Amino acid sequence: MSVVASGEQPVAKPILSVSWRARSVDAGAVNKQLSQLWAELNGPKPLRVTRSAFQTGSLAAHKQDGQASQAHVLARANTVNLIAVARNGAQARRIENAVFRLTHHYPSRAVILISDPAQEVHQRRLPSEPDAPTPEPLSGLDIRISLMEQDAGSNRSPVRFECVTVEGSPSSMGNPVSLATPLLVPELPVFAWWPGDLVVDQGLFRDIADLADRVIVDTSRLGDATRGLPLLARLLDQPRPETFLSDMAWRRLTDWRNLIAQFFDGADTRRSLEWISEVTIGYAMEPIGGGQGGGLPGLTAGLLLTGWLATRLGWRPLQQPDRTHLGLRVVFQGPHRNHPVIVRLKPEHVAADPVGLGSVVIDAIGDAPGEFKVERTESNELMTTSETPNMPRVSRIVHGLPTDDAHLLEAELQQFGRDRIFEESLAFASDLFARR
Amino acid sequence: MTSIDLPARRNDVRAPSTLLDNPLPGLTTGDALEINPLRIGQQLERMPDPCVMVIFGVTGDLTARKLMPALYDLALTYPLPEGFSIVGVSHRSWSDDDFRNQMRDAVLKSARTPVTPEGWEAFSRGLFYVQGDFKAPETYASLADRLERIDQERRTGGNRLFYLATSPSFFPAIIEHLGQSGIAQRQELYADPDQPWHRVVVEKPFGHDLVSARQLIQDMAAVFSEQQIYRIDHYLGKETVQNVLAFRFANILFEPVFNRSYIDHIQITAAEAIGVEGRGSYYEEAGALRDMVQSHLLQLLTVVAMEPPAFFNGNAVRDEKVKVLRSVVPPQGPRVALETVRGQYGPGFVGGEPVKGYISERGVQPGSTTETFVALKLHVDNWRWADVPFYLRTGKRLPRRVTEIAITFKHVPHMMFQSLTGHDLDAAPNVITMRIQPDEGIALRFAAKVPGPTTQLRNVRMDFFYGSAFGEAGPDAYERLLLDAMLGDPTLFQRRDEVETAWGIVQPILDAWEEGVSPIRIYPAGTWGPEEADDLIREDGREWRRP
Repeated sequence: MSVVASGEQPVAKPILSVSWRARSVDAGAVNKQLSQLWAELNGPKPLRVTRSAFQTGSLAAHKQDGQASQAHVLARANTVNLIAVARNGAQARRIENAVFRLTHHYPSRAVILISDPAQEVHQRRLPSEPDAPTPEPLSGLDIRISLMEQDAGSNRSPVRFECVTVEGSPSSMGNPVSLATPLLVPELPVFAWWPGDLVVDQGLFRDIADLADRVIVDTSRLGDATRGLPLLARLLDQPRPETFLSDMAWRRLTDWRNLIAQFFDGADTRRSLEWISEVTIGYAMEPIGGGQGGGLPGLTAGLLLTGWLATRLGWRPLQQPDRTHLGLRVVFQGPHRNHPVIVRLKPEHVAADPVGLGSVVIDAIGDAPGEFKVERTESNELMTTSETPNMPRVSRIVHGLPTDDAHLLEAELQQFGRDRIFEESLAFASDLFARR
Repeated sequence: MTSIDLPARRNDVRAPSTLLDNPLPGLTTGDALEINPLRIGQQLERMPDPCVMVIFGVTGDLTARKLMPALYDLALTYPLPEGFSIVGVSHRSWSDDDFRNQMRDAVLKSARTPVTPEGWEAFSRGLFYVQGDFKAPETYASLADRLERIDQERRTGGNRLFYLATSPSFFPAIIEHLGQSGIAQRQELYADPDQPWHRVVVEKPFGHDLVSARQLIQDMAAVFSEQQIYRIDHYLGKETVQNVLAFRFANILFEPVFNRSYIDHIQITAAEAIGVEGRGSYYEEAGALRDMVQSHLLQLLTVVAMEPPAFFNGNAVRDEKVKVLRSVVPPQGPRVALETVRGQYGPGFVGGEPVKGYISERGVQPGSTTETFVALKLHVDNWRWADVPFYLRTGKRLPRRVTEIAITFKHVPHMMFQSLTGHDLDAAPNVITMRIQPDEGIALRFAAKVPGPTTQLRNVRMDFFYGSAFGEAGPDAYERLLLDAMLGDPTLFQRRDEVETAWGIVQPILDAWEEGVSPIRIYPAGTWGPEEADDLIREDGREWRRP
């Protein structure tokens, strides 16, 4: 049988763009340039009736074709703004790779701010002036606006969106929030994606979060999940109440949570929830590249999943987590049965998803025993298996949501409102490591 | 054992709450286990129960093109529960493996989800086949046997979704045997929710005329209660049709002007560029009035004309649809000649290519008077729509494929802008066009001032394309409808009174045509129908739109 591969995701390409260098960003100039690009893209100039056309009667002739007599204004349906902040070249590339691979849900306008210390360029001190004062850094911003076009699939018109990129040194950027604010399309929700480390730039993070309706972070990129999760939980307090928080690490768990929940949808297996005795979560063991303290991104996913199970099922931790060479072990007490619930988080090799989970195995005992398992396959699908004494083993394959940045970002752009389940799970997971 | 104290919670985050500890108001802890606490907060809050879908007529075109690809997509991406299984029933002597191979080809060709070896292997483990004659009791004995084994091996719990993908002539026999064999059980509204459910899905046409429709309703009611029956009109599963309801009832802007005070008339067009595509023998029994008007066009009429329901659920929506259909005044007697036109395509050109006439198509009887085109004028006699004509037209071998609803508003009561030369004022009325397919979206035509030193007006059209706002194509209509049937949500399916009322509208037209009223008019393929259709609307001082 031939495999129909999902194939490389199409990459949006700029069909029209303009760039210039300036000391500051003039939002009026940016919007004007965008209008001109759209006008150029849409072909014929807007209908202008000139007096000569009247006099020659050409307009009358033009009107005989009912369609042609109507000027056609293409109203673009704008949906959301996206701001993304990069603090170095690697983050900038990560942002562009994701934004330019969005297909199904995408921002009407993406504003990418790149504040890169590597951009600091100093005037050269001439050899003949060894005592001259320290040169000032060259100031200036590179501004690039583009109309991006993305292939939407066969028989469908391509989709188009605007991208405004402002790049400069931190000293040139000044206050990035003041750059971004006037560039946003009015009346549309603002999503802010913060792909960087929360620990390093807390001040800027708070400023960006204040501007946004939703802030998207990725705790799998934190150096140390046991410190980063509590930090994120504290940061929940900081933005204005109308700002909601999203975590790509949590979004990666969507399929896992859905499949685990599905085991217990039936009345016959639902009783096993009270009898869960052990949960083993295999998380990706590869450390983050780039030397962010050697963190284990998969552990974040494992801790969030633990928090989810515990908060949904009413488990209370009996002790601080044990750290062993085999991973983490947490012992809980369930709400009804007099037996502990042991959760083990163990590292394993997960080639298909280096920042996620590899397996979840749930064992139940007592009056409703059973084994319920979700595993990631080599071909990056999810296999579920369940078995109880009363029901034969059944397994199936599920084609899960891809967990690359573009797909996760797309999923985030569909989220509106507070995700209380996430916040409770995050709070619980971070509290596991609260110092006493 | 004692638990450790956790830090005080932040003000804006609730303390961890679970149904086991903190049940919903009104529920005891014991009741709390009726709900899966792991489902709370998940986007997919409703999952269908594990079930077996039994497809009668599985070797037909519908299964290969639509049903199996939709089921594969659902199974792998929604996903459907573990153990979901499909049993195909047909007369061909296939084995389970033959069936699986055939369905694999269908899925490879038409599914949205990438097909991987592991994915297909796991899915195909749930595919089974029973060979037999639909009218033979032995077929149902074999089927019962197989279903029992599947329940044991794949934990489908006795839940059954029967899908009649056969010719309607087999419906009575299949329904009767399902009942007699005990495979299908009648379940009333307040049946025990812990018992397995049995549902049946039927495709249109629901009968050939009012009498046969009522007979079919009666035949089905002998075995199934109304809430077990799901009558598909796949137009209702289309995102764009559902979006008409969203457009009307999720925006306050439009509803206040959706009435006789502001609307001049409404045109509903469902045009196809293709002919009967080798299905002449089927089409001879149907014709455009039965095939398109009685079902799809009247559905479009209901969504644009209905009153807002209080809820978006099964009966609330369907009640309003039936109500508006009951307000439609069916053309009767001599009015049929004045308010209906029927046509048949002759040879012509479509897309630059010469095409033959209907009478030359395979399976068409010599001298056939089956209509491939219908235009009609309907009146909805209620407070909202009195004196607002609804013009409906549908046909094959028209210049292009398009389905749309065009709402033409009245002229402004007083035009304060004066024409200087007599031809600088394009003051055509406002039009809202809802395009169902292709180029799905909504367009608004309105007048704007042309830049310049004098006041000149020009009509502009503002287009909203779904594709430009939402890149996602959305699931196939069948995915949505099959899932709803598994979930037991009847909102997008037709109720028996809706079917009967729709037939009640077209039956007088069929009767009059039978007596020779509105003779068949031949129109060249590639044109917008017979001239008489243009006369129908011109007599009212209006024109058909050119979509």
